[in-house]
Amino acid sequence: MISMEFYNRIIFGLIAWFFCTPCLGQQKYEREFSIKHKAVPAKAIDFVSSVFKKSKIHWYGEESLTGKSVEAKLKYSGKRYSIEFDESGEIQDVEILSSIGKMNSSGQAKLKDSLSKSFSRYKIVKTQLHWKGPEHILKESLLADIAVKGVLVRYEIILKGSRRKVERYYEVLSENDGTIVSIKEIVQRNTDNLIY
Amino acid sequence: MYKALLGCFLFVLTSATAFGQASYKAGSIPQLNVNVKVAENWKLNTKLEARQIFREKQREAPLNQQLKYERTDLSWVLTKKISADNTIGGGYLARLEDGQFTHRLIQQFSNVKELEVFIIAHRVVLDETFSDGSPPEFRLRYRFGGETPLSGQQIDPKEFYGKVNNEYLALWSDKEADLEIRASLALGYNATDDNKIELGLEYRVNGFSQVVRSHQLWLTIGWFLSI
Repeated sequence: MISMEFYNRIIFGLIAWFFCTPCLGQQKYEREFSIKHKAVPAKAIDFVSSVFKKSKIHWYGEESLTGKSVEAKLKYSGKRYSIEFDESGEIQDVEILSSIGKMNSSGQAKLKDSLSKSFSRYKIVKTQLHWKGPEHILKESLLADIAVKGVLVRYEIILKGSRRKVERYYEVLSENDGTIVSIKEIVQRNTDNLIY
Repeated sequence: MYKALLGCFLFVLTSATAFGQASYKAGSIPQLNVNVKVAENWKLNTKLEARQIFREKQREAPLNQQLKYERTDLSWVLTKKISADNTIGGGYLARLEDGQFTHRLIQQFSNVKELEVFIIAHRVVLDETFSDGSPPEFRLRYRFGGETPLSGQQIDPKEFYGKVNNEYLALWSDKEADLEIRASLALGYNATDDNKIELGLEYRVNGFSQVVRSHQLWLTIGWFLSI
């Protein structure tokens, strides 16, 4: 007859293994989490509140092997903004939910032509306008609701694309004139627990 | 999410007595799910599941509150990712109950989409069950499910998440049809993307074609491993 001690050992072993496996899988460590207003650098709060009046702001922290950052997500005048800061509150970039139709027509044509060469079939699922530049110029652009001179404007596109008959999600970074900067395959999350 | 789980638990505790003359079962379903990548786009899911009953009341029979082992299922489902969101699969399940084996063939399709803070999933399953002395049973199942992080916008390693499922099962056996509805709520812990554990409650109701409906309440414990 198998004793209770034997069962206890098996259960203890399984629990120990469950909590130890995270330590083995940390080659790619990235974590994003909600943070409270008081944990946000004052400089970041000052920047956001000086541009977006009376807007509900959601703050997120992000930890990765390259460092920590803080992100503000908010909706203002019908647009969705995502503003990234470094740990000290220095602005890194601004992302605005947009559409490919906002790109100038020659840029759109060039981008569509490049995408057609890269993918046998594709469907754009999300487009974000990317603004990068000095703090005062980004602030001026946000207040004017248009990228002023000195802002590097790029488009970040998430698309479902087929290559060699295999469909995957990709992140495409494009210059404002439609020149593709990079195409990266997005590693999809493990969703086995929703399938079985 | 914690409040929702607590509310659900209290509902389960109080509703057990409210079933009145209906038949019901309450117990636990621990489940181990191991997924192995067998080739590019192909995965093999092996699932081991056992049911224990804590409390049982059959119609016109006395209440039984003795802990009872009911059955064990072992299944294998081979799936192929056919597009970015969709998978198809087929498999076999063997069930051991009262010393007798039941065999089930499974065909399934699933669609999983990642939204801003939710991951939503649709699953359609067709299965055929065969056992000695019973007519074959055919089931068509549709399940809608979703999960969301309890902190932040995505489920990262070492984070908790909430998961809901709602499933409808149409059953045909011996020229008779029935319906079963399932709903579940679970709290999950994502140790890594390939190692998750879930604790939840599942409610099932069937017997819609009969005078008295049958209710089931299960405490579910699921461990999902990917290799």
